Amino acid sequence: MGRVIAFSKLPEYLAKIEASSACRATILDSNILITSAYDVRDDYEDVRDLLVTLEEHGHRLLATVNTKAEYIEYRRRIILTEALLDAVDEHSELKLPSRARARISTLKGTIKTATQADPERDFVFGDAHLKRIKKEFSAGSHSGNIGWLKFCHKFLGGRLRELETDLQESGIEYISQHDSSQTDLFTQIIDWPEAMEISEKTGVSFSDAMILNAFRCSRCPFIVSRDFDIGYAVLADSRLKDAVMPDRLAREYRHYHFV
Amino acid sequence: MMEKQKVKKSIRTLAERQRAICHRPLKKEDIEELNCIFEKIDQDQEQAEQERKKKIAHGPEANA
Repeated sequence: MGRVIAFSKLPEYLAKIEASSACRATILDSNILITSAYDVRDDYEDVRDLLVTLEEHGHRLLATVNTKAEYIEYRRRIILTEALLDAVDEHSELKLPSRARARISTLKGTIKTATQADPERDFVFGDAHLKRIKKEFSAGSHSGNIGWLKFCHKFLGGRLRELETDLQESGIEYISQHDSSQTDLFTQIIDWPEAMEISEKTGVSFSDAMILNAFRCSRCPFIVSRDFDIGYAVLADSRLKDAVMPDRLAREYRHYHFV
Repeated sequence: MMEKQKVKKSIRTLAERQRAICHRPLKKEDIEELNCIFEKIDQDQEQAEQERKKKIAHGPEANA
């Protein structure tokens, strides 16, 4: 069973780790990757400063296949959202098809209402919204697929790759058991049954269970997350290690009486 | 030949760089190319709509 360490307690926690022979590496959950690179979020500065501290203390910052995939997915939605919303601005030089403009304006209202109701939510189109918008770039048998494909080519083409490269050049390493140079980062083979067991234990999403399973199989003494479910899982599962989390979340677990 | 040394980028400025990549504006010719395609889509959607209305109007006859 792991512990939840509040961001503010990190210096003392690191001092203990550094006094031992524990591995100086940590897995960054997708929400930490997203927040560290998206400065409109409330706790952006806390997350950025935490990563800087970890780096200064010589800890490797790692992304798993899931955290990296979720990061890229989020960026995809941000790029498309901003491109589409900019394009419906009255001063935009881009003149989208009328039906697409109408759909984007309607869905803009939907996400505006959702973000007003939940301040934690980002002003970003969901995948279901993007699918509906995509349909409006076609005139059925007349225009086919070219409109949306060209739009994606111009706005997304090459950019996801650039974002990924920039992450790597910032010192965020992608860990994989297929990389023979990283075998020292793992204690066990990552496999499906254990991920399923983690999900079964607390009902955590399967994507989170895969992240937690990679963490479990790694030598990393802790994971960094701002997802309540991650902290809940490490407190509930005897096979998991520690989670470093924002103070406001770390406080919430008091109500759950984990020993 | 000396190998170019890779400079590690700062994690402190990650958000700034990522935003710059996402917000890079399109070139004028890209906008023109897209507008041309979108204009055609508008016309095609209009035509498709007219055909749909026509079909509905003549539907019972066509089925007779």
